[in-house]
Amino acid sequence: MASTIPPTQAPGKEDYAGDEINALILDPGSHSTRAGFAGEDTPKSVVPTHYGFTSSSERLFGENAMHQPRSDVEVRNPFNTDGLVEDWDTASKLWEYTITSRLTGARQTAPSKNGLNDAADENGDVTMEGMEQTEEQEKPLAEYPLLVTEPGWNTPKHREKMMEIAMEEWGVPAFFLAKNGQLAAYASGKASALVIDIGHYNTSVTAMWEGMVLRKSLFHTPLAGNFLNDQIRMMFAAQQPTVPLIPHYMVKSKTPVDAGAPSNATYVKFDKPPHDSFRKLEEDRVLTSFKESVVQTWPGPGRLDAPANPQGPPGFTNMDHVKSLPPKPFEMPDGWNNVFGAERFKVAESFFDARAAYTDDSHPAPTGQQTITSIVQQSLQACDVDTRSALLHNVILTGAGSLVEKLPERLQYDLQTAYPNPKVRVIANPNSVERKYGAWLGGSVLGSLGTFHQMWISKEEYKEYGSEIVEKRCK
Amino acid sequence: MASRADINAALGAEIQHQPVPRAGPVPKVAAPSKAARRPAPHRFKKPAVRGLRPAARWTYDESPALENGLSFRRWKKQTANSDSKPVDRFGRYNVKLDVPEYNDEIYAKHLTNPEWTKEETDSLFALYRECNGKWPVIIDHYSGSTERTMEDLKSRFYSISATILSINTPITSMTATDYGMYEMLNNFNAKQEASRKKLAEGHLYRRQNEVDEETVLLSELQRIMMNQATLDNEREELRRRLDHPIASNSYQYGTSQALTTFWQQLLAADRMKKNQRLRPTGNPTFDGMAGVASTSASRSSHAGLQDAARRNARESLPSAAAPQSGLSNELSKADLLRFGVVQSHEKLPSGVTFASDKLTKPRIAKSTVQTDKIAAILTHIGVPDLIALPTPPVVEQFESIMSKVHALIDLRKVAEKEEQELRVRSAEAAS
Repeated sequence: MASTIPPTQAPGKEDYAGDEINALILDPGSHSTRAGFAGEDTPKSVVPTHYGFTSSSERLFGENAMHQPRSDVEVRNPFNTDGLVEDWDTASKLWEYTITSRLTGARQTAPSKNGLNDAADENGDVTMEGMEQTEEQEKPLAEYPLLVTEPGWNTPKHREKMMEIAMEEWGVPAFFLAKNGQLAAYASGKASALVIDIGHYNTSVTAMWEGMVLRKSLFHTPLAGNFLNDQIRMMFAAQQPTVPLIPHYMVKSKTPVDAGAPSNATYVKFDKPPHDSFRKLEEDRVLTSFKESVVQTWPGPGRLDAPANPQGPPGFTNMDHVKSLPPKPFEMPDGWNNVFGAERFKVAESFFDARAAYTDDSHPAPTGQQTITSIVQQSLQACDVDTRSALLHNVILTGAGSLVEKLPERLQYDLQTAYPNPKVRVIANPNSVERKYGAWLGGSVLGSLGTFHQMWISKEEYKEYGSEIVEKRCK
Repeated sequence: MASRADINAALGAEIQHQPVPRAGPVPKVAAPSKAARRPAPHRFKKPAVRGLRPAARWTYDESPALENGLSFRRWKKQTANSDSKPVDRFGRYNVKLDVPEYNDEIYAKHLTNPEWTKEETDSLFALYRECNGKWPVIIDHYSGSTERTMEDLKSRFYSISATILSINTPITSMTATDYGMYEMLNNFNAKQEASRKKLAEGHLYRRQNEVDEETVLLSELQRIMMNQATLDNEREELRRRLDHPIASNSYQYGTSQALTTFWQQLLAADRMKKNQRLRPTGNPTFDGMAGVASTSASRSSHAGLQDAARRNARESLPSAAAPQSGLSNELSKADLLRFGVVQSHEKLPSGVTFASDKLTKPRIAKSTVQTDKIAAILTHIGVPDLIALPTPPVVEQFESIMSKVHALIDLRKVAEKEEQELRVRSAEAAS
């Protein structure tokens, strides 16, 4: 055995991607499922995690199948609102679909088994012997080592289940499970960092120290993309007059109307309207474009309802300043359009200020402990004092929910206010693709490293130690 | 003309099978016929669907490194000759930590601690190994029955390490590095560390104005240190100049006095000559009295422009303390006050005088009786024997006091005389 090198020394060039083994990286999220080969810069296969459940118990996966307005389809999600898998049966099918539809393709039946080469007996039947021996090779992913991401608060049961699916159902030759906060930090090339991942159902904070996750620092809050959707919905309802939210599939044709005027469109007539869950999903798509084009976070300094500047006239708040900014227009699929001024700032304010949230009966206001700034503080409080200033200097903002305009600036400002002394630096990749797929990218980097190879849990080890090995190896 | 290698590269590998003349011009007639059979340019083509490639089988090398009973494996594509010797190319990345080890016997003998059970200690050491000695991670992963701070863990770990180190190599036979390590492990002060942490935590929440103030102070310190460096350099330079090589006997003009004498000799010798090469500096201190006489003489003989200019220059200089006096002329009024420079118009005696003389000399009279009298009066009115700084106002004040003292003494003398007279007269009258 060659002598070991000191840990501070970077590996040699030949050891990067030294031996390519075509590992697959699967990053299952509660909104979309990402999969691709290690070493690539974007996941090739991105499939919505929502799926259609027909009345005949059939599952429809993928964008193409799902967005058909059918009365007998209910839209479901295998994840619960805590970001953990609830419906394993569907989840494994969905993940398999994600991988096989775009990446590996359906496997050809082996020539020895496809029946074409078998000698038929006098009845034209072929013998079915020998099927068992080759079955091992028939499993969908028998060729590719698989790296799967998990949320930091994943339970040991979930982890073992994940491993069982990969090993038993898919027959992968090697497997690994990594926390997505950790991977997002790897994608940014940081070993010590505080990762804030704003996803669909949850925003999570993970502190990493020299490549290892600090478990006590894991915190998550429901203030994420889905929460923002609800905020926008409530904002629409609170407007005078209320903003109609009609998804695309209901509109047959539209004609332009003036701003604020009722829409003049013909709607599709359904004998039996599609399921409510389908409408909600389609509404969310409209809200996504609203978020992308209109919503903005107040970049600071101060909160939205704070006085604009101490020297200025009393009672003049940031909100008054925002009202004087030019509003942004938005047009609904049915042609209704209007401009949004202060509201476009107000919906995102509740990420940082719990009191600013829109509320109704089914959506209580978040507590002050749930704001993003607050969970970052809680997370830091759980870390050692000496690590805190280093972590604050490497705050990584990732996740598709973080793509709201000016959100990194606001986070930077709020954290700097909470910790005046250390230098706070929020690192948010300006490339939206890399921000969306941060955890997947980190997995892609990790999976293609030559030095990572010895970390894989092989099939033999799984057979020997069972699924408990995942707790021992994947820390 | 293309070389053979170029053609090979252009036409692909098949050309090599064709007989190619070794030397001479390339046969141009042969080229078209070969070009006709030229294969399509080879391009790297990805398979349309990855799954359609021949299935790769993964095999692994058993790595010699064994940990926790799990062997590490290195994956590689299975090839026809897959039973080649396993190479441990990545073995050097299996970085291992040097963690002290102990067994039950040593533990029972040396390492027992009332606050720690053996199981807890074992788990701490296992954790240390697992986390590669990263304390922030260790405290995060530590889950014992009792709440412990990082300082508790550290002091336990360090004390055990120190003990094991001293067991393995007795202190007397330790090398310097080992002993340094032993010292360091033994000197860990948990209390101090905890209070440092507390301070560090407070440091995180310092207000903005404190941070600003610190920044300003730091920049001030920076500026001072920068100046300090230049000041030191200048001082060093000055010292170097002052610390000139000591003149040996062979060089007799080492001091400025000797140099002045030398100059005067040269000047005197030069004056004897017809063509004078030297010109007096115009400073009687350097040139000597002879020089003044000679210049006045030469002025009468060579009444030229040059001489006139020189005379003007000389006359513009103050007469008495010529070399230094140029300085005070350049100072403004405020600076004069600040540095305490006084231009006195009184005639100074030649040679060096001290301002403090003005405070001490008047105290001493010609006779000791008189001196004692003056001293008694001064003590009586509260003038100290030693006055610290003879600034002009102080001297002025002192002089006015002294004149009064002298007047007093004179008056007393007169009074005594009169009294004496009176006594004599009254005695005469009585008799």
